[in-house]
Amino acid sequence: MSETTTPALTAPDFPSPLAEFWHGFSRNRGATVALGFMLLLFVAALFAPWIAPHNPIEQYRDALLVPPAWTTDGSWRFILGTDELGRDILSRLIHGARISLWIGVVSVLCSMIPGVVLGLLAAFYPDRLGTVIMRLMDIMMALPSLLLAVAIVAVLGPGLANTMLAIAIVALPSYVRLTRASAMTELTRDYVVASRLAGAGTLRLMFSTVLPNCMAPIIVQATLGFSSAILDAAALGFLGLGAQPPLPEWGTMLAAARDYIERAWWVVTMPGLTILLTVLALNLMGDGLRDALDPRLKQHD
Amino acid sequence: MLLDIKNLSVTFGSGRDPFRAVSGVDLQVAAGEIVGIVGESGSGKSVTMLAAMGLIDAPGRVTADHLSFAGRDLLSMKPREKRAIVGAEISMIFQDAQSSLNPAYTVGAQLMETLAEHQNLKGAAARARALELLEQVEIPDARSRLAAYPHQLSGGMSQRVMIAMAIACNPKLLIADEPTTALDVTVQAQIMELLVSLQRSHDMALILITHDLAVVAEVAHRVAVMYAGEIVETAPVPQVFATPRHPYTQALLASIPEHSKGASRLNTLPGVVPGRYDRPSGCLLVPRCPYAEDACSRAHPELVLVGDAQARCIKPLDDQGRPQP
Amino acid sequence: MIQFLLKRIGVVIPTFLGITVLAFALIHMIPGDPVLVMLGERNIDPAYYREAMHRMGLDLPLWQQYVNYLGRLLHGDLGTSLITQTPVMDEFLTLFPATLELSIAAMVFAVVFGLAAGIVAAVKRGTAVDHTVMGAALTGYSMPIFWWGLILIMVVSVHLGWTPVSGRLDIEFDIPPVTGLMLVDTLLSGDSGAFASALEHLILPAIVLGTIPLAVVARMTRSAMLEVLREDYIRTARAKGLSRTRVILKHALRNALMPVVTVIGLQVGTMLAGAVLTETIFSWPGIGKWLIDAISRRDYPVVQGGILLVASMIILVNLLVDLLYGVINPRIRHAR
Repeated sequence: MSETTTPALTAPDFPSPLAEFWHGFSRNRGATVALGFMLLLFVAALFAPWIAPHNPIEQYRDALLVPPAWTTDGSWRFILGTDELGRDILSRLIHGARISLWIGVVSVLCSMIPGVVLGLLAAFYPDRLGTVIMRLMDIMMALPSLLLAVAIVAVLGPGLANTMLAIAIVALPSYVRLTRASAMTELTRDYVVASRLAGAGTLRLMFSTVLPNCMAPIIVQATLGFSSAILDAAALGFLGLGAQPPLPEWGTMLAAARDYIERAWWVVTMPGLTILLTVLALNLMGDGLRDALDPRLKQHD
Repeated sequence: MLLDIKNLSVTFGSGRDPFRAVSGVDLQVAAGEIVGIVGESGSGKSVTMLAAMGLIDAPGRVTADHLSFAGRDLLSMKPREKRAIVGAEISMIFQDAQSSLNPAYTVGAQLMETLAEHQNLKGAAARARALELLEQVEIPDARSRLAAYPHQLSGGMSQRVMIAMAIACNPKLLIADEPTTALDVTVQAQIMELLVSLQRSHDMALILITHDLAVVAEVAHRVAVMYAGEIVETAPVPQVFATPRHPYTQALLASIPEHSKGASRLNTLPGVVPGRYDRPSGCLLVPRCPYAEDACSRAHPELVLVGDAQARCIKPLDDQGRPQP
Repeated sequence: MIQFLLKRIGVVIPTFLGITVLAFALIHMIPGDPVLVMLGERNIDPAYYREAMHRMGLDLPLWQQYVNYLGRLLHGDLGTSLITQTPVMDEFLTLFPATLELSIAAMVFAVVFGLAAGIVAAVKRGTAVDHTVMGAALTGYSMPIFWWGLILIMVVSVHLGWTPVSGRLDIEFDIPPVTGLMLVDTLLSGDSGAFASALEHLILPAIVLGTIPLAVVARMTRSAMLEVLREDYIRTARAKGLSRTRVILKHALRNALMPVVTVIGLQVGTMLAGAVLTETIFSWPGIGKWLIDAISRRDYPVVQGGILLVASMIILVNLLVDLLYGVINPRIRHAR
């Protein structure tokens, strides 16, 4: 039903896809705030050495377990306080953002690119290759992501690089399944048939005809994958299987803080709160992206 | 009067931009009477009856000057008292019977639920009564159907189950909302026949909501024609077909194949029912009415008495179907 | 129903075989010599090395090693722990009840509160209640549970002193293990103090482990309820004169449960992964902690067997969920 009855017959004004997307996305207040938070975090990570008030691994022996600035014993020298070795928590968190976001970016790229390629292959050759790929993915999905990551790190040994690799492997099946499912739907559409009749080769068909039309759910998945990458990396760090001290990784910081539960709440609270806010922001953004990019995926609300 | 509705309105949406789905409906139904409510989809006929039963949820709002059933005021009644009437003394069946039955429960369980709720019948007694009801609605092999799930029934069979549920407590009024629309033509006739015979044997009033005047012509005593949320004409059945008083009724009749024999093509009204944003200020039919004149746009017409009928038109049609001079 | 069952099992078997290949390959993928890996020793006598290699069948071709491995699996032989020298299977069976108890408690917590929150949010859709519940659910969904556990210990155990910090039971109680489930065993022993102690120990870990599943269940319940509440049969139920509560709980919830049960099933995997973290935080003696300890001690037979067992558990639970789904949904049960 038309909402306006204006008779003016001007040429319809089609907004650019980007403008249209932004219109949909910005209506979601939570997602916009989350985007702002993430931008801030990225800037902080990028310029960490200039922004952070202290060197993240410098130990101020005269200032062990100093509470945050706003408490009675706090000092504005260490805004969020210091840890058991006298390191500035705020500086460690800012530098930790570098590590966490780096893990997120690398592992998302390392699982999305092969995942999309495998998914497209599975959709284009559904008989043999597709079956083999999907069976493999089923097996990988049989183990919960963190457990599989733990198993992989158990084999490869702990460390930052292996953490990223493990998280990338764990996330692979979701991209494969998603890409395959949307590519299969697109393959039945007339425009693909038309393109095929026009003589487009398989590679061209895969990457320039079908793939662009599957991007919306993949982008949403990448955002959510980013959040679970950060969460899993922190969990591995917490278990002592991820980034190793003295790297200021958020999960690793928490692992060290466990012993100070009884006397230094800020050492425990700050890194976890940062993880929670980051993951929450990414999930909010994922919801917003899903609603803005793909109305078909929209949840009822 | 069994059912007495005066000035009933239903509004959806809120704030500055509400939408009136039904406005100012008056309707009286006597015991044992069959009343047809006819109109296009979106004319408010289902909403009117749902409102009468108290099934309109917020944000929908129902207002009326008077709404009573068998002498009891439904407006001031507590929800609990109202629920005792709804489903027992007034019951309702719907257009799509298959989706109106809960897929998770057997036919028997859904029938017995009504019996337990209103007649406190449980266990073997309820089962026996449920079986009896299924037999009354002429379901073959009724005993085994008790254990069947809705997805195992055909559309016609589902509608029979719905009817069995509706008559379970011997209602005084049965509201049938497009009961045959979703069914095959042959099944349609059977269901209508069943409804009418049950109406007689149970001596209940029947409100038949339909978009099909032909259905009403065969069974109803009286007809109310609705257009854009309003009743535009009410009249006893023979008169409506012989001498429609409202141009809209006339147009509806002209669109029935049997009534326009000889015409080379069916007559249809141009245009569509006015929606939320293009409601005329005067008579709602003005944009589509072949007889419209300037006076029609000036004021919203009231229902006026024309012989046995009432029509919402400033110049009701005469016996020859022409606007009065 | 039988056909449905067979079909599901047919899908499960290849997945299970795949898991065995993965577990088998694990030992060979670890950098270093598999014999040394499995013995957990260095600088050993060459004769002993050859003997061990032969004894473990590591001198055979790979495919034959795999067949032998499968054969041993069929006999329930998952190898022996390098540290404790007890069979992996025995260790698993001893520790599993602790994880099972924790998981059941967490699942009960998640399902009860998740369903309730989801139903309330759906019924009060668009109101402040709905927004609050969904905001909380998204926060719970984003929760780093290892931190959540620490915060709860800090506030509830340390600061308020309401619950113990770790373990399953106060040391003053000595309860003979019957079922391995501490709540049941303490109840059987008739010692109400021990039962209370077991309950106190269980509450925090169960809340921590149940947080993410709770959020997922709440979100799923809400969207499924919203969908179902629009259905025609809800109108029918109301036209029967049933009360609102009855319409929601009996007619709507029953149909909304189908997608929710699937999601609950999928949460079992998440939960076993979460158990690794939760058990580590609360020193809960279950298989999660067992696995992490084994990894840090390089006890590879335990790692290999543990991962295989956990994966099997998850496959089994998902199969059960599929069957349960068939029970609630008559359409699937009757499908040919």
